[in-house]
Amino acid sequence: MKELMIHVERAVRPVRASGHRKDRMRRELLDHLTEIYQAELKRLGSEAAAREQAIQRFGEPADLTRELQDSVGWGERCSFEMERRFGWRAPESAARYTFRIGVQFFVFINILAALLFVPVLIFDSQAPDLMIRLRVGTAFVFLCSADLFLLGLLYFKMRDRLLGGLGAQRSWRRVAVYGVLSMLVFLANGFSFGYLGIGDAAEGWTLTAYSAPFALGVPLWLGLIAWFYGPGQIRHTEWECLKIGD
Amino acid sequence: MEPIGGDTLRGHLETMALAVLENGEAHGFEIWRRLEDAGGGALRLKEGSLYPCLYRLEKAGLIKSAWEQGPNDSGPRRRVYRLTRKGSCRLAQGRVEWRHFVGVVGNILGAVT
Repeated sequence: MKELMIHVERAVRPVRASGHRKDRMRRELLDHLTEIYQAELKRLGSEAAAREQAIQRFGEPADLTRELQDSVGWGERCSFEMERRFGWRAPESAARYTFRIGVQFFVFINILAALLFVPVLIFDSQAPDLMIRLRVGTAFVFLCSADLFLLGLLYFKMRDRLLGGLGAQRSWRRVAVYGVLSMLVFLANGFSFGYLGIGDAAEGWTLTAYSAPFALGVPLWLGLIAWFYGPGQIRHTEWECLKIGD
Repeated sequence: MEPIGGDTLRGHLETMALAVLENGEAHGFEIWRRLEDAGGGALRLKEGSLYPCLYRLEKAGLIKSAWEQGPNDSGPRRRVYRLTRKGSCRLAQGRVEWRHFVGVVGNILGAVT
């Protein structure tokens, strides 16, 4: 089975298309190749011979890559470029990926903030609340970047424990631990925003109290995303990490 | 009879795929099986080539597809393809073009021999 997967992956991996589209190609091509293999196994009675015959009937990966590439539109190519820059890249770890996303967001939002603040500094530099606005904005940027990293990492940990994917054992206890940690991150967010942005610990505690009911929804939200999108993400990761040689 | 290879079939595979889907929806392997049956075993095309062809047809709106559960509920889901109205029109047009082509080439070959 692994040899068949490698044959399919050699054809699909170089295609410049979105991960979603490539996963569909992988599933369909592997299904077909497996059907040929089973038919050949029945006919020839030898696994090695059946595999060789199935691969021969299926076609050369390089030719298939070219044909598959021609079958995808420019929208898919754009998605590929976006995913290459901002998506997960094999064999990146979850921690490294979420850290990279946090840094990318930090850089992007800073550029955006600079563009927005330049006119304010030019036309409204004497505004009494300018420093407050800058402080709130800075706190927001820092906290959002940190959230992307921490909540992202907790999501991947929770997903793998919930679904038992990528070598992780299924464990409800661990899922609960990551859920509680995600709530704490959310609550710490409220406090940090009040303390860093407004500069007052009392405001921080008030914001924490206000955000408490929403914090309960965070693990639920992460769990639902993992439940619906996790299997596809895990399958995608497994394919992308498959060693296919040169 | 010599088998018909990829170069000869190129350009006709899409119309042939539309033709076999006229008999009812099917997943990729079933489409291939129908093509082989209809071709009497004379088609010699790499089977993987069917999928880029199906994707091109889908992109053009001539067929549409959806994941469906296989015959065994616990088995993997399969992508099932079906002909659209636009695909039926394209197939009818493809048949007319083919008859015209066969007629013209047949006349020439007949005249030469």
